[in-house]
Amino acid sequence: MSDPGPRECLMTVFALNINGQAVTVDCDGTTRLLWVLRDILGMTGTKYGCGIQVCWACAVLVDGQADKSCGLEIKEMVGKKIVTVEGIGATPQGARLQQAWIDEQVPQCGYCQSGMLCRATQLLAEKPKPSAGDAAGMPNICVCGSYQRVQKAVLRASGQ
Amino acid sequence: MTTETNPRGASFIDQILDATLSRRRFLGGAGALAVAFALSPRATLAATQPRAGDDPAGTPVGGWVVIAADGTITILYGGAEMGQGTSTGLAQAMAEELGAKWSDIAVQNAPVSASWTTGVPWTTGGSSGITRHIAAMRVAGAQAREMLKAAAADAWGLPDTSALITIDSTVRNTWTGLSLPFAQLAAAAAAKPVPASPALLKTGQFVGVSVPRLDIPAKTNGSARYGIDVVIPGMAFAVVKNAPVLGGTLKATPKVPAGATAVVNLGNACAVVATNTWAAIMAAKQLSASWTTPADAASNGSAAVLATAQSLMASGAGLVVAEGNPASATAAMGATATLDQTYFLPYLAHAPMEVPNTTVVPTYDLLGTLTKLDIWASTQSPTGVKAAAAALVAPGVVINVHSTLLGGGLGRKIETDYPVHAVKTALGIRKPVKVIWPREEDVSHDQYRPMALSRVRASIDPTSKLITAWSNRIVSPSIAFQRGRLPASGIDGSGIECAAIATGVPYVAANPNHAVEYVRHPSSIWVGYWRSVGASINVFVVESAIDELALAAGMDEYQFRRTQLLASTDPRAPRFLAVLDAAATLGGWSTPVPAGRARGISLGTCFGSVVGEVVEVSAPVAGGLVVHKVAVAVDCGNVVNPNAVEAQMEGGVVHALSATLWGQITFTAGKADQNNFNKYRMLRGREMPVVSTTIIRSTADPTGGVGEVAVPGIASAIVTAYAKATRTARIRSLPMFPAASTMAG
Repeated sequence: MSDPGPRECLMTVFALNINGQAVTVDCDGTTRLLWVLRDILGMTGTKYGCGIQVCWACAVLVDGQADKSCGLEIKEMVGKKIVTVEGIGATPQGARLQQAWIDEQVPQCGYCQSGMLCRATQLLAEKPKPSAGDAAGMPNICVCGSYQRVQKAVLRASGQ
Repeated sequence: MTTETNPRGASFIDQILDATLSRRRFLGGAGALAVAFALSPRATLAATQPRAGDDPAGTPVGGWVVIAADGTITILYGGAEMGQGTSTGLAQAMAEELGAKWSDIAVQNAPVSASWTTGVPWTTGGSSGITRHIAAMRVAGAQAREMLKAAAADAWGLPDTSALITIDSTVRNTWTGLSLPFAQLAAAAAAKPVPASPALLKTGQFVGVSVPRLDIPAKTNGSARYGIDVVIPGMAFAVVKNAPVLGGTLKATPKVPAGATAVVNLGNACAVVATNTWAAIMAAKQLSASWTTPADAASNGSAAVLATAQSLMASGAGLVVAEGNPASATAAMGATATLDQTYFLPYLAHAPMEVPNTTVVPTYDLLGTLTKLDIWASTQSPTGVKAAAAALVAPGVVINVHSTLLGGGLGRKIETDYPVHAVKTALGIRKPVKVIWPREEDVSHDQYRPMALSRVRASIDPTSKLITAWSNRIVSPSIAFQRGRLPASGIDGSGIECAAIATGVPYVAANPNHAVEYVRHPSSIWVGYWRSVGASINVFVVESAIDELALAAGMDEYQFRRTQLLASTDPRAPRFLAVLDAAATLGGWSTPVPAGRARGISLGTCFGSVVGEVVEVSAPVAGGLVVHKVAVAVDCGNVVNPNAVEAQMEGGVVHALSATLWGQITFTAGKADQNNFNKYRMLRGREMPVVSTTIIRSTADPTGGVGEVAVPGIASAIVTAYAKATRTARIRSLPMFPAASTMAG
């Protein structure tokens, strides 16, 4: 171990809107949203899965669109409405999905479900009566294999 | 209990440790009952089932029940909740004995620390989460029940508890009809002696019922706390960079790269420490480290590993006979065996969704001497973590291991490599730190499901169609050998699991002409316990060979299996036959197959349970495969939570499909060629078949585990169905579609 010396870094204050709350963070502008949420704001509901924008475990809603927060630079998030799994319950779609997830006993380990629920919230917002194929088409990886229950829960949440 | 004090006057960390759970908190509050005790040796022994092979051994630990003033009954459990529903299942047994109302029940994982340990290891592996602990939890619930009844007897001035029952979290006097809630009785009950051998009621009120899982609501709103979510004020964040070539070590501690605050030399890796994980990841990319290359790196390439396996298969050098008499079996086959085929299985990574991670808080005294380690590990083996940490510090250092939810385990998190990295990092910087393995490190430095080359020669009687001789030679690296635990016999128990009749499907009873040989492959590529362990290899081989024999016999695969089991004199055969029949019924085996589709069937077993699976596939485009349906019949003995069992069957099918279709880790000179999901493909929603499950309510004892048993039988059934659907040659080497093993976002 050696002494690092003074750290060179471009720290900037960014004003963000997360789950309807105004928050500011002081960090390098290229820091990814995922790590701002988890490490700087302590909002650990959003999960790290792959870090390369493949698995969707880290999905959040940015202006209503599910996106992979491991690839989003914080400087691009200013002025956007960010909703995480901690906030989806405030939307009617998110609240119905959360209840459906319980009713269908969807999660196993549950680690991917934050991203799954955010993606499903977008789906219901765009398409109130999605087809089974729409539900199956969500790209989120679930290593536990909860897909069958996810699909049932999405249909249940949409009243089908 | 709002004004808590810290009786030990320890450092700040004691006050934030277990903010939601600490023994002193419960013991210190008036009106709370805490029953925390070691169970009698008899009870713990009764809960231990012998396991085949060398699966990590473990002894069950007792449970605790804590009744709060508001009526909440918190049940503490030992072992890992990694999505399989163990915590709920154990609570079902506890609540049933206690006479609790289900809506009052909450669960928490008990920490492994000096004040909580009962001196026996906690490890969740071998599908044992329920089976190892349930008897102990029943006893603990019954003990608390009797203590509550004794307190109620005092309150009512009764001479004894004979008129008292517990129901809906109350003690009821059956003579007067009066009730007292548990919460009112808790303080007095806590002072009562713990009965040694309370009667077990086994009412069936909760056990055997699909009560909703207690861990699920928190998993829908971001509040569930996994190991990776642990937050310690002021902690640093670190990522691990392992030696690129397996077995390599750091030549010197690298310079701290820009953006990092420290680099810690971990020997076989280094930790890059920063103020947040992103900064650590970026700094790690700039790391300039020099590593040794082990002498055997060249032999740890996939082509070299296969060549060695083929050579060992041919020469049989170092083989041990695990079962039967190979010469006798060969003689019985006569001039030409009905079947002589060799099967290949690749190395596989576990890749649980939550990467390996551990958070460590070191505490030092005024002289700067380490006095305590608090460790939050996402682990299947808190006991193993504690032992591994103890080996790194001076005797007398207090080590508390705090278990968390696991974002999947799959056997990966039974290892202690990543907690050791975290402890070394914390000791290096002398500060609290969260240490994670980025996904690239997880996939490229796993302890992999071993590869295997396995040859089966077998003959059948042309008239009866019964198997008359069987010889199976398995060449595979040994998990036990790499850990110094291979017995003197040279036979790796998990290496032959399900290949040997005693641990497999009893198509025939044990006889000299059923031979199994085991040859240990010497590769030093790290191998470990992947969901279903040896069964994941040997069930594929045995069931593939059975399907090939059925083809040779001109028989339907289902009827061929029935024929063997009906003739088998092994006493287990009827249980397997019942499962096979149930799977065939559920999967519609006797109904017409839709145009373009084909079915496959398999029978498998591991960890005390038996599973039959029927798959239905089509191949609409060349080189493509659609799995439409999977029917699963499972006999796991006594069922605790049917819905949770079904979930494990669905999950096991998915896990096995990913591995069957695409899963492989290959190596080039000691370096893994895959390091993330983009090259290690997982099944996605649009590829999900309809999975249906039937649970056979048998009274088989012991109760079997369900976390792994659905995995091993999928591959052979898919391979057979694919060959039938496409009228192409059978695939004997997994994965089926290595060229399609990549995926994008």
